Amino acid sequence: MGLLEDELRSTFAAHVTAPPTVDDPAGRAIRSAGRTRRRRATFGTAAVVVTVALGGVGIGMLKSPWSGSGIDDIALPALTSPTAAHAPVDVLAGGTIVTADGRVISLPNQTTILSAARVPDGWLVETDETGLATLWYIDPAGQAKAVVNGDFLTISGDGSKLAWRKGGTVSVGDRVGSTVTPTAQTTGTGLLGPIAFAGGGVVLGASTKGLGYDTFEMWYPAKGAYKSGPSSTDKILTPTADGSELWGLAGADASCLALIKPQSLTAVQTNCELDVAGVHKIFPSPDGRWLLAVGTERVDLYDLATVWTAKGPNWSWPVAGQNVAAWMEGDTFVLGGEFKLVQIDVGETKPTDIPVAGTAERFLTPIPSLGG
Amino acid sequence: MDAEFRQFVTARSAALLRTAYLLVGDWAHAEDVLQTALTKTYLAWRRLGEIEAVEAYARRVLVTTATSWWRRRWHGERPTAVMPDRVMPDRIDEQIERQALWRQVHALPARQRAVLVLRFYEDLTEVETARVLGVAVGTVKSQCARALATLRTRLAEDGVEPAANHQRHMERKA
Repeated sequence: MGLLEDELRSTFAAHVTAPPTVDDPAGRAIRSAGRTRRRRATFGTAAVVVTVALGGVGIGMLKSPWSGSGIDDIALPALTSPTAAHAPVDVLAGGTIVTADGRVISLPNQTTILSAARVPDGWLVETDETGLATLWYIDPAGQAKAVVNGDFLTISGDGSKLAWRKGGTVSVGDRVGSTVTPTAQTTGTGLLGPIAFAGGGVVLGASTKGLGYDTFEMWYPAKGAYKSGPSSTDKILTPTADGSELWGLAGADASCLALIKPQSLTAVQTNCELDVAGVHKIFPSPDGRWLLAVGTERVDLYDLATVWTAKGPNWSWPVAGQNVAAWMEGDTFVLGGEFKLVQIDVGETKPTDIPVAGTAERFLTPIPSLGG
Repeated sequence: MDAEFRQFVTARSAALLRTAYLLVGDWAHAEDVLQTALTKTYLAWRRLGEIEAVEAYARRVLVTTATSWWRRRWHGERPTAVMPDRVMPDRIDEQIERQALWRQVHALPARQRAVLVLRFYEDLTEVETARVLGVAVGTVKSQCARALATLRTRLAEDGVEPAANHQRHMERKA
């Protein structure tokens, strides 16, 4: 060992002899994680045409700490082969988007990328900076511009409207590229913040008991400022495919699949015969035919024509650890995975692994399309 | 789950905070980096499962957060509120040299500084350091060699010679 190395050891040791006392770091981390998870769920409830859901128990959208880390010695495999198998969807891979046509786009250098969605004019990417969410617009050339930030943030099903809360003010606005034109604002929502667009209004959610939203109300920007109205303690998960109603879990222990009317926030249909207790995300297919329920241990698919009288799912796959699904054209959807994607065709019992060319990242997540 | 996480934080947060401090250079920002790392670790807790994996994950995310934070926000030297060592009369030269080395370490690029901290404070092997940083072992070797060469050059320009300091240590021991 050389002399300078010895000096470095001594110098490092000498400089950390008197660390300050940190007040309840575990408690602060748990509270911050709760905010992050709620925002992931918020982004997830936004999608209508193709639904994305983030958070819950999974961390598929959490940027892996050992990937895309800014350590720029990690070389992405060159996209040199014209016959390389590209994924059927854009893929979030560490700090990059690997597009379906094989391009690799670097994302803003943020510590945590919560989610990404394809919109007709580019991509929308949500990042987190220790409690503050930022939405970025990535243009087709790969240039990133910040759009809005706040402690709540949600996107309409077609990607053209945003709702966010910042400093106690909830705003909605129209988005074109990276430009947002605010159309309405309100205050007085208390703990409630925007988590989805549905039924011509904005679904507001709050977490009062722990992780996840447990209280919901509606705000109708066209009618003026927020006024406290009907509230729900059913677990709202995502809008229906046409955005007119909401999917959720009803019952004291959230054990019943429920279709919830936004105007009254009451369940208009329920089925308590289904095993949905472990479901944390729901993805309706864009054509409104299927409902994909993602739980901690499996993925269940329900035919919406028969779901209210069903005793169980039409199909079920033992796929654990997922929190994002992207519906493709036809009866096919794609889940994330480690070093691959997983494609499932309705009716097929065995998922198909899809290798993704153009990235060496471990955690791969399909990027759903909005408004396309 | 929360109880296990709190137990982990109680056991490891002080050590992680020290590493964060060496990476970013002041305690306030080190606390921010630690907090971010713990938040991400908590989010990942259920997937990681075992405490060994959690420890490795927390360290990785800490280093990643610290290096990216530095790249975004570090613009110059920050004063330290607490002197790191009591200065005895016969150790003034040693203290001055140590401060010079500290300054030069924090003038290095974030990646090179991270390599030095992991190798010479955390005492990780080159393989372990590569794993934490997500780079090849060869990269760790080259970054480390480059960092040490830069430090030698800059310390010489400052009129500080670690070898001379080391010689005094040896003489005192004798």
